[in-house]
Amino acid sequence: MSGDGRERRLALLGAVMVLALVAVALCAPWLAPFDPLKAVADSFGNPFAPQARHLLGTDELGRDVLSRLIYGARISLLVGVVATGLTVVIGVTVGVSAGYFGGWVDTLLMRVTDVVLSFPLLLLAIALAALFEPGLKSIFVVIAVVSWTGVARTVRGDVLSVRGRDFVQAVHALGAHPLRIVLRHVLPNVWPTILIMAVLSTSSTVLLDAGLSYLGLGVPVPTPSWGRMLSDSQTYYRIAPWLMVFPGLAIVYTVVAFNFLGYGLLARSERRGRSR
Amino acid sequence: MRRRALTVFLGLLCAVSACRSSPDGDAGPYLRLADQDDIPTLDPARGYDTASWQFEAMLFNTLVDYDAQSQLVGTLASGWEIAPDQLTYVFHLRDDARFTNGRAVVAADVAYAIKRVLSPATRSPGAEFFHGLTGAKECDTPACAMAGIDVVDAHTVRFQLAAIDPLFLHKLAMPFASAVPAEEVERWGEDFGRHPVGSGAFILQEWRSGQRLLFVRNPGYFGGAPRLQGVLRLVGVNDDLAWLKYDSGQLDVANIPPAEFPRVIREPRYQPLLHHVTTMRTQYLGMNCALAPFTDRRVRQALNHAVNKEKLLRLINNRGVVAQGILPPNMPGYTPDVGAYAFDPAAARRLLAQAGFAEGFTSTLWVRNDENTLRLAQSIQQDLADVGVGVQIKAIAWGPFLEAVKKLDLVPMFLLGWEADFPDPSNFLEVLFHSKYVGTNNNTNYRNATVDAELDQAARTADTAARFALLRHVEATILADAPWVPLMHPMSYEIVSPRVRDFQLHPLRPARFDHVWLADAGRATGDARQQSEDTGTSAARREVRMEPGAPERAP
Repeated sequence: MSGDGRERRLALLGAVMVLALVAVALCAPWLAPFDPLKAVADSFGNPFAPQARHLLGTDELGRDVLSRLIYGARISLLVGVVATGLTVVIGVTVGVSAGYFGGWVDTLLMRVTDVVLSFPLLLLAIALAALFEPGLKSIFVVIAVVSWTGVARTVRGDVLSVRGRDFVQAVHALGAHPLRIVLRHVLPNVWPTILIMAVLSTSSTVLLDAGLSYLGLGVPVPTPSWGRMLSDSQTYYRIAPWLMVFPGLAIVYTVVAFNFLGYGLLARSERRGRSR
Repeated sequence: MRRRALTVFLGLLCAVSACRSSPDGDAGPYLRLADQDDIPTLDPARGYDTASWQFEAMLFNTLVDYDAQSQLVGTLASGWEIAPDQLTYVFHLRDDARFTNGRAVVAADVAYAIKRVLSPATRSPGAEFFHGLTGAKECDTPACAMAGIDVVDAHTVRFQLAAIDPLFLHKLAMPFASAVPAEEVERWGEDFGRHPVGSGAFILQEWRSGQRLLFVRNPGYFGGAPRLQGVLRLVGVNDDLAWLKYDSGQLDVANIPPAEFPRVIREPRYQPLLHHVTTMRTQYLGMNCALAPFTDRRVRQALNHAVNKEKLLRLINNRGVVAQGILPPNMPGYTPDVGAYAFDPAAARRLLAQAGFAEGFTSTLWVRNDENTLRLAQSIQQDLADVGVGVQIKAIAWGPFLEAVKKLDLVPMFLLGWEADFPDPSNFLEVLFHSKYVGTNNNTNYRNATVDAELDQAARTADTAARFALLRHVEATILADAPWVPLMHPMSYEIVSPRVRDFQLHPLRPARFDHVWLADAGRATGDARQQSEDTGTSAARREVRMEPGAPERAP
């Protein structure tokens, strides 16, 4: 019972952290003290350290770091949610098809999955990102295309076990259409897995987005994105470390938040699975 | 986009290989440089940017060249005579110059090189400079017979001009006029730029695209074999990384990133290592006069009022001066009051409203993809946003960028710089604004018949005062038409490692390495291959051209 409580608290903490982040992103225009794109301080070429007017300092183009961080949360969350959504759609489609139909469909889909998995994730993402115009849409697509494999494999495993159960066999024997079986009977049973995978892959999506932005393949300048802020800070790291520290912390916070939530949920579902 | 992908992949490969090899304590016998981008070409007929020129100058020689005081002196030429009518030039070649394939350099090689530049199939951006030679326009192959170039004997060549050209000697000092061996040019064809053979102080030993170039000394160089074993130029290293490499002893020449500059300037240990020179450079925002809305002069003028140049200068630690006009202040014939635009966003908005853009418009600004240029671009983006002009920044690699700006209808706005090839205003005004240079160097596609006529007249005027007066008027006209927003005249700063000796920056040319030597390299004569593998881990950065503020001698 105490173990259950710890997982619940972890999940709860994660949920609170995620909600706080969502709130910040949604309320960015009211929370941010300044316009994130405009020069609001006379700090060209010479970033200001954190001070009363600029709590997290300013960058070398006179922009307020706090405002950019707050608006950057929108980009990170948007990418996190949309790209993860796409990832899940692809992953679930592949996983369910492979798991439910089995046979050559399974073999084919799983070999494709293996091929994609065999590429180093970031390398593949960079190669793909370089092919498209930089922008939000291409980030969504790139991240989804490289990260659906984990979801597909896990979902396939769950579907395999569900498919063998009596109630599915029964519906099958009654002559139900496969699509109906999948949607009405299989999917609801693998839903918890999908949800947990989605939450967990959001954190890796946020990281991947930061990585791509860092490499200049993300949202074009001057839209504030945390990864881009990190890479811009490189030149000034010695004289203006705050330019590097705060976006870094923001990324860490987001990843930790989604991981807490995800692992909390995972642990709970595993416990339930065992006690069932 | 393909090219872009390739760049990224190559950069990545560099990064991966750099991780694998372990840094070596021995700095090795080569002078180590680095830059983000590869060198566009090493074919002297084709290259017209500072990176290409720097390395072409290591491999090839012209008849005349500038000494350290910017005076023209003979290189391949042992002497020359100019006829009293100033139309005939006779050059005598020294007899000890040899190409690195072993053959002696003769007068016919000089003639061949210039005819090759002139022949349309070469597509040389330097052809225009030699059109003053008699019969030049009819020369359609490198083997053509033309009255303007006469090979008198193996060591004498005579040039005949159709009209007086006060700048002809300067033009012969441009790398376009470098002697090239016809047999090698014909052997490699289009690929001569990858397999250059010249008579210069160095030999290209290895060129791995996107990774590095290795130049080794030419022991038979007629000017005396260089003391350096060679020069290693790494590719795919950005400014910041290069600085770190320099600071940890892995590079011999580097730029100083803006963030480090104030510290470097203060610290005593760096003082003996710093070099700086005021070059004749202007960095500008170009607008394509052939693309709407920049077809409207008022729009171009509005942008001139909208950009805050002081701010840009501060982004490069005030290493330079704000540009009022097109010509840099140290250029002969420069005038301070040519009709500058004050920073005045209100005036900009008024002009935009008059042009029918009261609500503003959106456009794309093309820039070279490096941190410093992107920073300047974002500053301009902020300024233009304030007057209602939405700017998207498109950052691409240097080579593709130079190709793109030459196109008539592709690039609406771009950031570029120009550095004088020789100390004369026409090298800015004619080369960048005469309509005959559209497609090569007139990247704004600016056309003004009056300007063309006055430039042509100036080119034939021998009297310096009269020429400068004409050119002054040309500059004022161009500024009023406003195809550029002149931004600043940056100053070159470079820093060398403590072992580098006799390094010098030149006001007219990229730094040369003929006389440079390394204090600790006497013993190091190890296997070249091994060495280049070792130093492949380090990466350097130098370049007069990518000084913070990124002035470039344009395509």
